[in-house]
Amino acid sequence: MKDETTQSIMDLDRMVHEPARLAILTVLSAAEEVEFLFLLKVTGLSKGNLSVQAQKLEASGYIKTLKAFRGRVPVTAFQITAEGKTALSKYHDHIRSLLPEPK
Amino acid sequence: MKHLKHIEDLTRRYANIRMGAAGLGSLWASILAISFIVLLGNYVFAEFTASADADNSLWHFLRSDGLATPAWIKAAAISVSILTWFGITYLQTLIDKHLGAAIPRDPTAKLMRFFVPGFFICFLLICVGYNVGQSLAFHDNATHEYYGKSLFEIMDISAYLGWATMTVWAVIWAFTTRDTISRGLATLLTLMFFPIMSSTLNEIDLIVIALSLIGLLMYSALGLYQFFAFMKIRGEINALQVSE
Repeated sequence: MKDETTQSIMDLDRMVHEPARLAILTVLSAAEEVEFLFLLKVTGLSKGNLSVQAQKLEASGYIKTLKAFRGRVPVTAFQITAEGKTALSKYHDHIRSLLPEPK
Repeated sequence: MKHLKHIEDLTRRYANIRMGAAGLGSLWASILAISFIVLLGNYVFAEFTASADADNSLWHFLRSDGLATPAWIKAAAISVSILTWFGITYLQTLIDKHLGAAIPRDPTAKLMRFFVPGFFICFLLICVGYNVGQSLAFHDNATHEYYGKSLFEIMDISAYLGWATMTVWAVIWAFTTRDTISRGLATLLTLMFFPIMSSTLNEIDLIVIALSLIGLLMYSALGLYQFFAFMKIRGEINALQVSE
């Protein structure tokens, strides 16, 4: 039983499990498209960390990066993909299954 | 987990509230439209008091006098919609530069459906359609006897050009914005000023203008609600940064 639980914890999607990436995916799941600046403000991550984590999520196909211009200023926005939504939802189910039932 | 729920909820609320320059767009549109109506009212009243018919009622004057719409009124009516668009775009850019944009998943936000129900715009559209049809069909002198002469009696090329400009502008607006509040405002302002371009001011014109004003009041209420909600969300976002 103990082994099964340990195995189950080990099976958690590590791409989603990392706190910064989990925060990014959570924010993106609440909207159609979110700009870098808003993500930065809401997650409290540094610019560098946000960029790195977003790149990792994009490489796994969980998010999509959109580049546009606001006037002459380049603007980066992100969108969660269908894969990303599924991964986040599975992660939530997984975590719930690991937590003890509330008394 | 609680923190994640909070930022998820914050994002959802912000995406909905941010539309239409966080309510400032609706307020800006209302200020412009009401200023225009005051300007128009002043013009009509000045013409009425200067007329020999000043002993009669304003309503009688409107129905019996052949008062042409001056070009500046037509130009002002068209520019309200254009200025509103520029204002909303500018205010939205300011907000997005400050907090960044989030596009809602459901473009027809629940709060929009609550404040400005779709049937209202449809009803207004029917009134304008009826009015424009009547203007096109009955703008000869004989029917003036029945429908009443009006403030906007001359159906000339500038009226058609005015309609065309307003329609084209509304279409451009609809294609360049993704937010339903801004699109709703574009529709309302276009419908509101259509009668001003038309040849005959009759009862239905007044209904259109009155309905449009009610519509603007609904948008203003929505704007105020959005703006206060936006300020609250802004405070929550600032608090998040302090706590982090």
